[in-house]
Amino acid sequence: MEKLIASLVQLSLENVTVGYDGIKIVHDVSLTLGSGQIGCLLGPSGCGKSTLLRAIAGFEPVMQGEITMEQQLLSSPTFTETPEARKIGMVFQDLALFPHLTIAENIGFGLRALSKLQTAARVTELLELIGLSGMEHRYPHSLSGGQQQRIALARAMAPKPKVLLLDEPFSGLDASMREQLVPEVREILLQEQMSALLVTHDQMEAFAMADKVAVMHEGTIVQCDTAHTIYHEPNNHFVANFVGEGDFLGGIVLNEYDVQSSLGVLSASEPHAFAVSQSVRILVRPDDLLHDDDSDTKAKIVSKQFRGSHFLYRVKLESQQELYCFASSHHDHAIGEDIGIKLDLDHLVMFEEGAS
Amino acid sequence: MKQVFASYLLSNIRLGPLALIAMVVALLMLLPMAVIVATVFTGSLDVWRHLFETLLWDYLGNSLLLMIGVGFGVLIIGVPAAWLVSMCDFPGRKFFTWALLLPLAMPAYIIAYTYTGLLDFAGPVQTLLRDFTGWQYGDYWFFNVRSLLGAVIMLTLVLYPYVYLLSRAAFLEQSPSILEVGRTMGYGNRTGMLRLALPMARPAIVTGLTLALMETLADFGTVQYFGVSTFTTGIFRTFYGFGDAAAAAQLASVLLGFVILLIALERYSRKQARYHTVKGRSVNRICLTKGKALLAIWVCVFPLLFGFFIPAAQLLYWSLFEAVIGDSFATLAWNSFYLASAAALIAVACALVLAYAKRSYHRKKLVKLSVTVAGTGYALPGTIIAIGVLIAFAAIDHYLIGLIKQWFDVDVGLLLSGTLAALLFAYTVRFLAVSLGGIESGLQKIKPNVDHAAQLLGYKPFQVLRKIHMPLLKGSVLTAFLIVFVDVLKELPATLILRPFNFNTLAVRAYELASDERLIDAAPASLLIVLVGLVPVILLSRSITVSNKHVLNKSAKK
Repeated sequence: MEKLIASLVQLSLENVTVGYDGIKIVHDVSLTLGSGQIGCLLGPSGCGKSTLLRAIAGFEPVMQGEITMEQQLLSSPTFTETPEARKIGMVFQDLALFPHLTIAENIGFGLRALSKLQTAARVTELLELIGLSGMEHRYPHSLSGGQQQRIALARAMAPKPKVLLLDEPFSGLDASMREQLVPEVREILLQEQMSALLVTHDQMEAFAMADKVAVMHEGTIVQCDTAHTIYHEPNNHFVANFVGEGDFLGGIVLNEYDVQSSLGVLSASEPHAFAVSQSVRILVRPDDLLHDDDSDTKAKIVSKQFRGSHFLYRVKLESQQELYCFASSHHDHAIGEDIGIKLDLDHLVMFEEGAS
Repeated sequence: MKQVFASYLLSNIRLGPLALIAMVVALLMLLPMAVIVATVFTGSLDVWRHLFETLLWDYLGNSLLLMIGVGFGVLIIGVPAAWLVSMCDFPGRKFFTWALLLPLAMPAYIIAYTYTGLLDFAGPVQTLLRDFTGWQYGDYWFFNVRSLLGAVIMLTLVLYPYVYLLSRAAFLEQSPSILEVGRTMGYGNRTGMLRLALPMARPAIVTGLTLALMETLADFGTVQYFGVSTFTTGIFRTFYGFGDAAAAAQLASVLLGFVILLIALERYSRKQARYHTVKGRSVNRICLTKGKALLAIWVCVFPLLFGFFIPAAQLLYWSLFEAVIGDSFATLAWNSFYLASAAALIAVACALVLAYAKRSYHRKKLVKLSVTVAGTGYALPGTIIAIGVLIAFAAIDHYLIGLIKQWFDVDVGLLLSGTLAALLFAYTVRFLAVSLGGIESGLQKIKPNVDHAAQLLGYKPFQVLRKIHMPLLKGSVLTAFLIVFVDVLKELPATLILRPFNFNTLAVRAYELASDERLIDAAPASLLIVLVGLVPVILLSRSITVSNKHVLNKSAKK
């Protein structure tokens, strides 16, 4: 949490708009990344997150706004610093390892300023860090996907860039490899005290890697917060839908704290901004609805999935509303059975009826 | 409208020199074809009428018969051979896999000269027959090679590798699971091939067929020597015999129509082929034994023997023991080699410019279109290109001479026509696609992100070229150079039409000697062309065996 209050702003984007051929792909985005912080741009494909990353790297000019790093201007509508002068590192989706160079030459490629001895020392240090010591003289094609991934990371980090950009770096790996590598990469970044910005469409990756997540939709940042806040307090219908599973429960505002829903009156801890008797939709996550045999509120099981530690039931309320419900795996009920349910909302997340 | 056009032009002028040079190159490459197309509309009706009433139907009929015959021939040789080496196992399979490409090294006109020498009245075959039977001239019937059927056989023998190469690749790319699904449904090996493998490979087979047919249409040397009147010989005769460039160009435009049809067919089938390829593990080959294995070997030996080994052996024999090698042979070889080197250098340089323009301006449709357009010359018969270049250069000369006379009052004579420049230009038009294809595929292997990664590590664009592109692209550039070099060396009709006065190459000399019925003396030049032609074929066969191993390694890992 304390990382959020970063001591120094490393990278700053102010009202940045990017596009080509007159078509704007990223609109008016503002973002800051603190020193040593790991940020994430999360969004569906085509939301402009990769374009924004390319603009930060200097491969796309900005149409409006400014990108600065350590108070130094990198991009503005009239000026684009060349990529090679930015001191920004990047790990690409397709890794882009140099096929004609050995692992050591790949990692040492950006270390021209150093002497041979220093280069070798840095390469050895990095290979140790990524757990691939002894691979110096092999060629990229002889390594596995996960190993190539780590080489690409080491190559980008070798010259100690001021910011490291990661463009969907795990998308080419299978699920188990990804699960192993994601926390590993975070550990490596923390050890090198590297400020990093990750782009992904996978929320699990974002949650596992980032101190701060910016959700992008149609070229704009719709919410920028910690992963926990994004999940539990989405400030926007899109974020609520895109991040995590969940349903919307219809309700009518009673007063500035209370809302009448088909599961009874729900109370917010803080006053909300909706008018009395307005129709709203309340976000209900699967972990907000618990199975409780003692509860008077009953719902019929429509379908169920066994997930090892728990069951995920799909239940139908009397109002015909369908919701997800978690239950411990000891509570094995048949489809069609009526079970007791209890709503356990920490925060009341509501959106105006009809909002999209 | 004007404004829209102007702003479009402006937005493209801002593209930078590389893109502009690329567009200029593309326009130049289009010049010969544009000239030919223009004659359709500007030529006089009388010439058309004359053509219609006399020779056009002859040309049309012969060209069609030739295409039907060769099409049939390359299919029945190429497809079964490809099926056998890719799906079955029999003694010698590995050897046949690459050796079946060898006839590619044999230009059709050279194999035609060789078989004529072999089979004509005074040739070794008939002499042997007479010695054996005691027959005299006129006592017996013997197949006349110098006929339409002979031309079909000659072209088939050297063009089947196109069908073989493409259908073999298609068979290998087919997922064996599909054939296995067939077997679970009761299709045996043979019905499985007919009902599943063959239809799936059809687009690739058609692509190979269209390539072979394009070469058939473009052939000049064989049909000319055999006295079969086709479009190419017609164009040549109209031009030299009657000195009528306009009529030659009009004939060329009809031929161009055929070529465009074939290109459309080729593009269409290539698109289809993409949907059909499924990557899978490698096949479990059907093991052939005894009779079947013998039959398979014969199917592969037959085209190899007649398409390469017999004519090559004959050429070698003639060259070593019978041919009179003239004093000019060294000059001929030198002319051929430096001309081919110069053309290959130009083609590779143009291809590099075009490929890099396309890479740098991949979002600009006009640049992309230019690159596509620049490569269309590969489909055009050398005769068409030669006539187009001739007419265009004559017009430019005419204009320049007039200009110089007006300004300086000097008569300078022809500047471009009849010089090596015209010849080199025609070669570039014809073979640019060959070098472009190789260099583009090499460049595509360097993903844009590789450039970006190097840039972010502090390298300036020029340094990226030196450190990343040069080492990675070296192989493709060399291969492209080599292939153009060999193609130029083999090229006959464009060289015949455009060469400067008294300038001879190996191909032209072989043609002249053969035309003078000095087939044996033509052998050394022919042999040299075949030997040099072997180099890219060996490269090609090496690359297919390497990719084979690659597939095997991959499946072994799994």
